[in-house]
This record gives sequence, C-alpha cells and structure tokens, in this order.
Amino acid sequence: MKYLLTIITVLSLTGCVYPGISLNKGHLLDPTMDPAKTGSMSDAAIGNAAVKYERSSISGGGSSGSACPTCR
Amino acid sequence: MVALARLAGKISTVSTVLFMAWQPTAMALNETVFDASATRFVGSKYKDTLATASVMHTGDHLAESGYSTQIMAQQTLLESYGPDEYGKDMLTLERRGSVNVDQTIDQLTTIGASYGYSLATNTGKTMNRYTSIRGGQWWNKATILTTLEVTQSGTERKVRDYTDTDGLRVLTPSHVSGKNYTLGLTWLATTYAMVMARGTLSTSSDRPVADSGSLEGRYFLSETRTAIHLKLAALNDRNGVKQNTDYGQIRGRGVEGQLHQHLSDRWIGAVVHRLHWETETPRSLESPTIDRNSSSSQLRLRWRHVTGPVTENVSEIYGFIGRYQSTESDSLIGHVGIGGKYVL
Repeated sequence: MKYLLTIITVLSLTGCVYPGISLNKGHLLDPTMDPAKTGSMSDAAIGNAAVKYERSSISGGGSSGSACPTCR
Repeated sequence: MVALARLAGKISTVSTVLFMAWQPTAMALNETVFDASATRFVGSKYKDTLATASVMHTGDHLAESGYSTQIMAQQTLLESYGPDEYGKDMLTLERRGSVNVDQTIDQLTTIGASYGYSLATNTGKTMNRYTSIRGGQWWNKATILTTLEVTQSGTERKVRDYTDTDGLRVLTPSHVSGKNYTLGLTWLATTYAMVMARGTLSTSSDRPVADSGSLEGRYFLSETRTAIHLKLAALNDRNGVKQNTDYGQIRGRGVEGQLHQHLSDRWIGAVVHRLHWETETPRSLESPTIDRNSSSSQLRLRWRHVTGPVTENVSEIYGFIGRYQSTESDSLIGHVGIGGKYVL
C-alpha cells in the first residue's frame, strides 16, 4: 500500500494526471483552471452588471475589464 | 448569425447567454440582454513548425438599448520554433478537437501576426479593425511563458455631440485610433499552481495614455478537485484628458476571488466575489472628484457534456445568480442568467 501511494504521488507530481499530456502543464486544461474555459463563461454577463458605473473597466482595466475600446 | 458563420463552412462553436438584471428596491427589471455568437475555425494547417489558422466569428447582441451584430475574421500565421514537447501535445489535442486553435497558439512558443474587422450597428454603424503582432517564448524547462503583443486598432463611428453631467460640451470624434503594448507572464510554479501577470500600456486618440496591469494566482487542490483563483488589477490614466473624451481621468483598483469545485465529472459549482475601487478626476475644475466603490458576488453552476477526459473542450450549459452594488448610484442590482456553449 505504501509503495502504491508513493507511485501515485510521483505520477501526480510529474504531471501524469491527464491522459495524453506528459508535462506539468496538463492542469492548465482542467475546466476549473484553464483561462479559456473559466474566463469565457459568464464574465460578459458580469461585465454587463459591473461596468454600469465603473469606467476603468470600460477602459480595459479593473478586474473585469474586457471591453477595452482600443483592444481587439 | 448562424447563416453568416456557415458561409465559411461548418460551425465549430455556438455560444448563447440570456442575462437579466433587476433592482429589488424599485421592483423593476433593469436590463435584459440576449447574446448569441458562433465561431468557425475555418482551418488550420501545420507544416513542420509553420502554422496558419483562420477564424471567423459572428455575434448578435439583443438588449433593450438596441440590437447589434458583429462579424470578425481573423487570420493568424505563426512559427513555432525550438523543441517543445508540450507543443506537440497541444497540436495532437487540437487535431483531435480537444482544444481549440487559440489555445494552441497561446500555449506554444510562437511568433505570429493577425488582423481582423468587426461591425456593430446598435447606435449607428461602428467599424473596428485591428492588426496584431505577438510572440511567446517558454523558458526554464517549459514552466515560464513570456508573451509580447502589440496591437494597432482603429474605430470609425458616428459623431456624438452632447453636454455631460459636469456641464462640459463633449464632441466625440468619428475616428479613434490607438495602440496597445502588452507584456504577459505565465509561471507554472508547480503541477497544481500557476501565476499569471500582465501589464499593458494603452494609447488612444480620444483618451489619456493608460497603464494597466493584473496579477493572478490559481491553485488546484487535487484531493478535493477544487480550484482557487485570486486576482489583483489596476488601471491609471496619465494626465491628458481632452475635450473629446467621454469621461475624466481614472484611477481604478480591483480584487477578485473565485472558488471552483468539481461536484462530479459533469457538474462544477463556483463562487465569485469581486471588490472594485475607482476615482475619477473630472475634466472641469468646478466639478468634484468622484469616488466609486462597488462589490459584486455570483454563484455559478455548470453542466459539461463530458464523455472523455475531463480536460477536453465540450458543450456545456450554465446558470448564474448574483448581486452588484455601487456607492455611486446607491443601488443594489440583482442579476440572473442562463447560457450554453455548444461545441459541434
């Protein structure tokens, strides 16, 4: 049992936690961690509520800034 | 919208969200918005280390304030150089459809250029265009990614002539141009921890030069399959507010925390809390400085159509409910919404 736990720990630490991805960047793709999977969900809706009075958000700053007029 | 996307072939992704906001004190519906968009990855080709990707995106936005539609075409050329085992993994996943082209491009060692156009029609026709050059390099055994992006953009829009709340007559220009210089850093500190930093210098013909930056840390607790995010953000306008600017000089600060929890392979819950502080120095000396502070919270629940590895891009449906309160308006706004992303 001790050896099994050691193997699992080593595999986890070396990044073998996701099939097909060998390096430790694999955790980027988890739907709770990947910016592409967490950032695009309802942030636009949050922005609709949050930028009503906040102009730094409109300018692309602030923690929800995404509607920068000079950004693409 | 769907028909426009079909012009380029098969649609890759369709996204929709219905958002409703209301003021509990007034018992009134404040805003209703319906957004729908479709993205078509027209194609991507890889030959040795050279890759090209074509993306077409169309979006519709229906709100009480009006209707707008947006069309964007983007062509990206990139050169991936150097031995990068992770890059090979990403290309394999992209070809399988597990991740999309943008993710592949963002996470490879690349240098590339892209351009695009968009058209909005809610308050008169607005045409946006941009040209972007970006490069990324992985360091330290592929654990640190640095990126540099320079974007030049231009907007053609209807002239607006009005007297603002501070009594100043504002005449907005019909043409606005600007440049953005963004330096980014992603550090994969451990197998389960990542740090992202970003700094941007923005110039625009109708706004002061602005410096903005953000710092974000994400940590994944594998035992409980929980992700914790903490983000700090700031924006400073430098001197130079002109008469043709929509508003005054801004100094903003924000902090946001998120907790995402796998409830099962298909269900994910999340709690988001955000605080924002902002000061606006007005354009006219007679007007007072305005302080705006706000807080917002949101609960989210996602259902993902997982059939393979949980890391893949899959269709999902989500719902959210939250609140937002600002000191400026002294109003509490509640919001609720439902949306989905359909990967075809």
